[in-house]
Amino acid sequence: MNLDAVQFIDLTVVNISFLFFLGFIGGLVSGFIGSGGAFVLTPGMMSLGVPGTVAVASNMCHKFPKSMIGAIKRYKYGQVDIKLGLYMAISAGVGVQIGIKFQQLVLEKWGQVGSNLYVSLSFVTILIIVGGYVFYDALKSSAGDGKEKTSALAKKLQAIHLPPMIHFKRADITISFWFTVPVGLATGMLAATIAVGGFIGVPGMIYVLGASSIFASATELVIAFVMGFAGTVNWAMHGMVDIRLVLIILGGSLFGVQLGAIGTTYVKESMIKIVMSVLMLIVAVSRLLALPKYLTELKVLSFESSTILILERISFITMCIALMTGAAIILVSMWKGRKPAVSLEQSFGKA
Amino acid sequence: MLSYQGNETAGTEQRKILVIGNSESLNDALSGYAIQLAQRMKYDLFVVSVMPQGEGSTSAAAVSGAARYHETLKSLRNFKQKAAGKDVHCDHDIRFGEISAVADAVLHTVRRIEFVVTDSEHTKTQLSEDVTIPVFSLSSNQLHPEGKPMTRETKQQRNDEIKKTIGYGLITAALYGCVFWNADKVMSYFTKGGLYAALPVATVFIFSFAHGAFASNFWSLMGIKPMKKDALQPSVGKTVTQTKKVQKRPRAYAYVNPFHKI
Repeated sequence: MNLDAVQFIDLTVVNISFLFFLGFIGGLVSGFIGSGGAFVLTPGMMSLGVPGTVAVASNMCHKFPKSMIGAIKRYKYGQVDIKLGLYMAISAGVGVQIGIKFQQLVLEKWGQVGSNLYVSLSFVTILIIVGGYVFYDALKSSAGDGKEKTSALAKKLQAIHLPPMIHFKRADITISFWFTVPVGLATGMLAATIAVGGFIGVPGMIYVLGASSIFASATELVIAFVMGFAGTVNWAMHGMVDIRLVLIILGGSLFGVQLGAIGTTYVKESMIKIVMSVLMLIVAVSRLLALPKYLTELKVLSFESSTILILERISFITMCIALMTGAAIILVSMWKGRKPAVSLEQSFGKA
Repeated sequence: MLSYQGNETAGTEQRKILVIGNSESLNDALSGYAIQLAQRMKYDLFVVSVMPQGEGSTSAAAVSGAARYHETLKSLRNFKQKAAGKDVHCDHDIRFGEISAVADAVLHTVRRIEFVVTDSEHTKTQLSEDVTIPVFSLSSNQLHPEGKPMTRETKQQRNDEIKKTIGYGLITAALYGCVFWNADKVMSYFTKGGLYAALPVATVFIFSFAHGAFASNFWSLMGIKPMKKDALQPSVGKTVTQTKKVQKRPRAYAYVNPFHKI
């Protein structure tokens, strides 16, 4: 191939298989919890030698059609509130711009290392706090009847009549427009910082706006589609999208996202929270392992270069483990959720 | 009119099950069920096929009515033959009119019918209004002896799924072939930037629709389909509470005759 060796890698069977598999697992998780599959793909592609910008651009380009297919699938199951998704996507778009500006400020003030440290620290802090709370709440509701209750905060906010009040018919919530904006902004800012806005968007919709986790995770796919589409156009105008990588990942992820979407009809609502929080907490550990590198570069702490290299590898492996754990929980819960249907059919047969 | 000639034991008439339905409903499932039940309970069977009143008012209708009559008679004879094979005594009759009126008339003329068996819930509802003895109907799965519920997919649906999966699979493979066959050329155009940005965006849209449809049909073919929550809602939330009925306890009254032994 006569491709520019710096920008675009040559594809081997191993590369293709790895990307296809990563796409499938990422798609499975995204279809189930609305996001979260993409965070392994960028470092995954980079581990194959793809330059960072091409990896980010290609990841973005695969993300929006995947989210679109997932959203269509879940819309058919009556789980998507398009209106809520669009409101959130607009404010998330603004959030992305704020996030980029903020990161530029950090970059100017503390340089690349400072920026990396800021990204990792926000990663760890947000993931541990939000992930920990979601996990606690999921355990609480699964210990009961598995049904969700609207959070006290959401109830309070829904009771405040601050015009314009918006009714989201499908999600069955009425809330002031001004409360949807901060959730959208935070989603966008997180997306600009760590590339996975859903880790704040989905819990935000659940605990602040009062949507159920089924609706929040499905509606997140609409947000991911809108933001992914805008991002892709931007990257493609700079010629950064490697369509070969995109199509290989898409090949796997379209299988995964549909399986994940089907999976949501098999499980209790609390299972979405469990998968999301487990994923968030393991990813937090992974980013925690990357901190020594930045701290050494900033000369705050000193670590051996060999130790840092090992920690970096463990960090990537941990991220893969996070994704695999999420996928395993989804598949196992789907398998378990399938049993009542079988027994029902059998009981019909026996009757 | 057919007179009953069933098993008579020591002067008493044998108990019977009335099997009632129209000519189409006297199928294998109903006959199998009724014969098995009669055999197990050691009952006789009395099978009545009901035909609509007034068949034969025109010549064409008379011809079709006669054909249906013969068909019904044939199915009744089959029924009887099957019952004889299981050592169950069976009598049959063809009657005209409303099913509930026919059942009522049969119950008044044939003695010792203990309960009625019919083919569908609809007929059961019709009968329950006029008939005072228990009426049982075959549920949907018994119409499928192999145990398939009615909602299960048919062979036709499965064939359609296979065709769709193969069709979309071929389209997807062709699209992938087009891109990867000319990867160098594709990459040179797709990475030009500017307005050429439309190329990768349009490509992923086309791929996602073709490949998305293929993947959807593929999972469907593998038997992985969304579960209908309404049908399978667990009854966890529903608690059955025992209603306490206030019943008057019978009281014992003592009557003392004041004039006793006076």
